Formats: sequence, C-alpha cells, structure tokens
Amino acid sequence: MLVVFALVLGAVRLTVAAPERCDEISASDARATAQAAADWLVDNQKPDGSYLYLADLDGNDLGDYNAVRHAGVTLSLYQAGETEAADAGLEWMLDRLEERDGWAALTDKGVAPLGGTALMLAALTERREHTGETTYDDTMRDLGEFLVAMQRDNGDFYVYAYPESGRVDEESISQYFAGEALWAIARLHRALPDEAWRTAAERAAHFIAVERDDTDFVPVAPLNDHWAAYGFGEMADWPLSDDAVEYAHSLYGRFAMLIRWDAQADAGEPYASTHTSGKRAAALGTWVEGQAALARLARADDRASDLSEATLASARCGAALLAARQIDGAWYTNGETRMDDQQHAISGLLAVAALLEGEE
Amino acid sequence: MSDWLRLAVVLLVIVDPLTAAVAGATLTADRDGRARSIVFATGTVVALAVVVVTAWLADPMLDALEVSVGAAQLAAGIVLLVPAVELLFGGPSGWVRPAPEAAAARLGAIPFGVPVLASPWLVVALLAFAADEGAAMTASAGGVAVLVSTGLAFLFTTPSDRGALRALGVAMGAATALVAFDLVHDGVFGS
Repeated sequence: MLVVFALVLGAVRLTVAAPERCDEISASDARATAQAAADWLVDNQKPDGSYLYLADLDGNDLGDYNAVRHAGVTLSLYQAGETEAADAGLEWMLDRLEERDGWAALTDKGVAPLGGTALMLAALTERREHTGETTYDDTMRDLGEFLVAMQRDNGDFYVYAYPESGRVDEESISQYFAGEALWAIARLHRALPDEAWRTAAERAAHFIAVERDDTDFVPVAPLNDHWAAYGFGEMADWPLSDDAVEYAHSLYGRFAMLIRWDAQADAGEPYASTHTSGKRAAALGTWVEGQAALARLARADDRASDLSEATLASARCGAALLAARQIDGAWYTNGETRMDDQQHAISGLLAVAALLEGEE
Repeated sequence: MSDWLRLAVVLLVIVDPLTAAVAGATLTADRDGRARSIVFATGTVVALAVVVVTAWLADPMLDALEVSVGAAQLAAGIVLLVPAVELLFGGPSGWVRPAPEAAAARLGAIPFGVPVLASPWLVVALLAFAADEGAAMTASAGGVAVLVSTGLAFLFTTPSDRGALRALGVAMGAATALVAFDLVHDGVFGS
C-alpha cells in the first residue's frame, strides 16, 4: 500500500504538482517587455498600415493575413501608447469598413466576421480613452449597431455577415466572438452610454455564463475565454449578474490551471518533458489577460473579492513567463511568430503592470 | 454547514475511523485494557502532533516545493484515490500485523499514530487544506477529526461479520473518493 502511494506521489510530483517557475515580475519589467513587443510590431508595420502577420526567426515574411487579428493588434498598440502606428492600422480598417443603414462592419474579402468589428470597436474605445478625441464616436456607434443587429434572441451572436448580399450566416459558430462582442459593447456603453448597449451586453453576459459552453460544444467547460473576462471586468460596477460572477470564478480556475501547466513546463528537467504544451505566446497572453481582467473584477465586486490575490498571482506568474520567453521583442513557437503573439502578450503584460502599480 | 465543520467532516473521512478501528483491534488483540488505552492515547497524541505541525508548515513547505494551492489540491485529490480504491475493492485491512512483543507506547506511536492515523495521504491533504483554508482552521479541524476517529475506534469494536465490515469499507471508500474528486475539482476549476 505504501509503495503504491509512493509511486502515485512520485507521478503526481512529475506532472500536476511539479514545481512552478513563477518569478515575481515588477510593473516596470512588465511594461518594458510589452514595449519591446510593441516596438517589434511597429518596426515591422507595412506602409499600408497592415502588420507583419507571420515571420520566422530571421524576420522573413511568411505571408497570410487575418482582419480580426489586425483589429486586435491595433487595439494592443493603442494600449501600448503607440498611437501613430495604431492610427495607421486604423486607416487600414477604415478602408475595409462596409456601411449600411446606420451600421458599419469591418470586412475581410467580402465577409464581415463579428470578431473583427468587435475588436475594431474595442480599439476605438481604447483610442478614445488614450487621446480624449471624439473623432470616431459616430463610427463607434455604427459598429455597435452592427453588433447589436447580429445578436440572437438568446444573447448569442451570428458570427458572419455578407454586406454585399445582406445575408447573415445563421449556421456557423465561433467560440470567442460572443466574448469579443460582449466586451466591445460594454466598453461602448461606458464611452457613449445608451441603454441599448447595456441591454445587449447584459444579454451577452448571461448567454456566456449559462449557455455558451453547451451551445458552442466546449468539450471541458468553461471555455478559457479572456474576452468574456474582459467583459465581466468592464461590467463590474453595473453590477454583474450572479450567474456571471459564478462563471468568473470558474474562469479563474481554468486560466490558473493553464498558466500553472506552462509554469511547470519551464521548471527545467524532468518537468519540461512531462509538460510539453506547444502553445504559442498568443495563448499564454490571453490567459494572463483573462486573469488580470478577473483581478479587476475582484477589486470592484465584493462577490468576487475572494479571487483578488489568486488572480493577480496567477497573472503575474504568466507575465513573468512571457518576459522570460521573449526573443528580441517577439515570441516564437517552432521558429515562427504570429502578430497576435505580440498582441496578447502586450495586453496581458500591460494589464498586470497596471494592477501592480495599483497595489504599490 | 460552516466551513470549519465541513472541513472537520472531510478530514474525519480521510483519517478514516474504520481503518483506525481495524488497526487498533489488530494491534491490541491480546493486550489488557491498560495497554489498549496506552496504544490509543499514544497514537492520538502522535497523530495530533503530525496534524498541527503539518498545518503550520504547509505554506513554507509548498513554497519550498514551488507548488501552488491549486496544484496541491489536485495532487491531494489524486493521492487520496489510493486509499479510496483500496477501501472500495480491498476492504478495510488496517495495514498492520499483531506485534505481541512490542511495547504498547511504541505500537501507539508507530504504526498506530503514523501511518495509520496520520497517513501519508492525510499529510498531503492537510498541506492542500492548510494552504487554502489557513493553518489554524485546518489544525483545529484535523485535530478534532483525529480525536473523533480514535474515540470511535476505541469505543466501538469492529464487526466480526466480514460482510458487514466489507460494506462499511465500501461506504468509507465511497466517501473518500468523493473527497478526492472534490479536491481534484477544486484543483482544476478553483475552490
């Protein structure tokens, strides 16, 4: 019996209870790492405002592009204070904006993915916060109208529209688009208050908290949806519904486990061999973003206050991993970096820095 | 149910009064009442000491091992499946043999105190609970669990009917498995 126990304990130590490499990154180090990543994006931006999408370690352009990720990268550059480069990225999106009957949507090869419009709206709200300018308020409202028009009866969203024909794809699903839309609409309501935005955001939050994991066939709930965490954090003082607060707790557990596994993978041998993840920085960055958003929720809502220390510790651990893994401003997986590796790392690192500065 | 009472019940399941009773009966089979009392009293004191020390050292131990609370909970849950499976499929064995030549106090300390009462899986579970719930709460709840467990084992003789003992073992194993899965759940989804 004791021999069996010893063997189980050994196996547990090698796997789920391996040492976790969680350095205590400072706010200034987190900001410096984020700035290096922002510099990488700016240095590699193209004259038309688009970014280097996929590159190898030598900086060679490996092609491909994605409008949703373009919007996300632009958002992260506004967060990093790189307004000039972000404005160039914004111009690229404005050139691809389809406007109809009071709404506007970001299109990609004739299709308007919900997530692209949502992240463009989030980028514009970020720009408005940073610059104080109201130049794009009408565009923000039009983007918000598109998101609300795409909302289903249960609070979920249709994920693709075809502006040329006016057709909406009623079959496809996207696990993350609902969270992106939730956050964008919640931010829009904070910037340009309107009951329509608030109602849409509350319906989306309810859908995500109680239905989404079933509707979108999430194999092991909850989906590690940092966008939803952002949305919940944004709505913390509305206040958030009880079901969303409960879901936020389960999101914390999911992000914590994912970050923990990566921290164990970086603890050296033999743990590196038992923790192969192969996940790119874009994934780790989103988990850090999610925990940081939940930490903000925990500070604003007593019902989530029990998460305050744990979310920050987990986010800080993930941020330290990101800093340790950065190579010349970028993050590489199997010799390649994609622009959203930098995007999510920047957003996560800056969020952790802000939380740490709020503590000091 | 208060958090403290819930933790005490959970720790009582992990200490396992049934296995304590079987082990106590085996170790004291040919001894008089005084020797039996010494075995139980010594075992209780030793187990209480292990519980208190483990609870108070949980945070520095987990820090030294670089293990977070969630990982400790997950590990404790997996480790607890070992006695749960043993109880479910093997029955309560007590894991001890009669030692008629040994001094009662020695038998009380080892093996009755450690590892029967203060088992390795109790120690692992205490680390996880103390890191999550706090040392004082875990130490007091664990202490009460040890006292209740040895009290029950001392007062009640185990049934001689193997079928009844087997049924009690299955019930205890099922309860231990529930505690194990709850810990795994907390480790994966957050407590």
